[in-house]
Amino acid sequence: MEPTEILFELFDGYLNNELTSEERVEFEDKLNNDPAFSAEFEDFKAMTSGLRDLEIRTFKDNLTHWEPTESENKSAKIIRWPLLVAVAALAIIGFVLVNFTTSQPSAAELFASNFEPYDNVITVRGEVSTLDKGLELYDQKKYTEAIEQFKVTTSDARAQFYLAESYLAVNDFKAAISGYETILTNAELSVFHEIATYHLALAYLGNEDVEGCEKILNSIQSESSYFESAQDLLSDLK
Amino acid sequence: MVVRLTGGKSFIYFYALNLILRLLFLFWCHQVDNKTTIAFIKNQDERLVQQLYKSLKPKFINWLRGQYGMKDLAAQDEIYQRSFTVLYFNIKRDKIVDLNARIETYLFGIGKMVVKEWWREQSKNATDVQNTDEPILSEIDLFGNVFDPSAIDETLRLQLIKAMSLLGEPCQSILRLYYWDENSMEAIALKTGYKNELGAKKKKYLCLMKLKELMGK
Repeated sequence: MEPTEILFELFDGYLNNELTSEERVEFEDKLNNDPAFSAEFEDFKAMTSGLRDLEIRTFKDNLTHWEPTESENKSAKIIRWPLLVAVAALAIIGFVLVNFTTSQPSAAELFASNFEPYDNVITVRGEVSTLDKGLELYDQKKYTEAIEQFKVTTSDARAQFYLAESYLAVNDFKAAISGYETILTNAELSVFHEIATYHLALAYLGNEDVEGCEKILNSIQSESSYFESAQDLLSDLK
Repeated sequence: MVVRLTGGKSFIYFYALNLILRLLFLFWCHQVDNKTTIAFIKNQDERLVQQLYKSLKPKFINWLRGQYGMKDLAAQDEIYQRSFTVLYFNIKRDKIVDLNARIETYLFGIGKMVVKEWWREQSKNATDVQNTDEPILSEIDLFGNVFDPSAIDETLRLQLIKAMSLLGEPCQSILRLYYWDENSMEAIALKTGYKNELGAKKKKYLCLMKLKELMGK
């Protein structure tokens, strides 16, 4: 039996429990009565189960790179209760002093402590295009040069997002605000809407428009991945 | 003067009480924030998962030493890594949606199963393991679904590893996004630059055919 695209889609549908009950009955009937179909399915199932298993092995192998460094280990080992008490006492004194003596952090400070350019989640592959060049510069934190690259590729919707991120990274807040506002009206970029909303708030903050920033932060719903960050920032702004 | 002193003292008492309440709140957040931990893993926020991995490790290793007298560093690392992997995938694959117990209690429960398995692998009788109380949480039997040596044939595993390394891009990414990260075809199309879902579906089929071919099937 020649495996076709439709056949593979059907196999995935069955394994992911996406078939209707009638389709499922029909599928299982074919499994029991058509040896070629059944053999092809077993092959597919073994291959895709193997792929999922490979994810687990790869994850576990990568954990070796996450081991705490020697200094982290040493510091973990030498901690004792008297030291902990001393550290806690110092922390309390420091906390009281900071609360008594320091003023509210400025908008610029809050922006700097909350903004981190979003990771490049676009997988670069195949031929080198102008978008790839921009992303490469973005990864190297060469944001001014990345901006020039992204400007010539705005036909690719994804470039608009990284263009706005680059503007924010070089503190060009007005350009960043305009970029994010455009992104939020573009359904094609819906995957970036959560982060774009949060970074739009930060861009307002960088631009010293605290009211605008709070308005955006308040619009972030509890379902958003950035809800807690938004709430933290709102409390810092109070 | 008296009034001023009294007012100042009240303020300090108020401030100290406020401080204690804040510290208690922070302590409470640290202890019970399972939802955040689950969200880190579901969102595959590598930086935060890495922090979680590092922060849980010292307690886990101390527990291994205390509970099982395990002193071999390589064995400690292996058991911790397996346990953390089970925790990660049970959350990622929605086998745990919510936890009543603290995340470390759950991890220790997984650890007990991993230690038993570890001893079994070391060709020792499983009864050598002391203090093997029954796991506290029923969800722990999900362990078998993550590290089941019989689930995947070793030859197939090796063929797949080799075939995936030869597969190249964009196929590697498309298959990972679909089978590892459980992305929809629409999301894959967007992330990989295909015009639409149909284009990405077609490419996924061709990638699976290529993978099959590289596996010699």
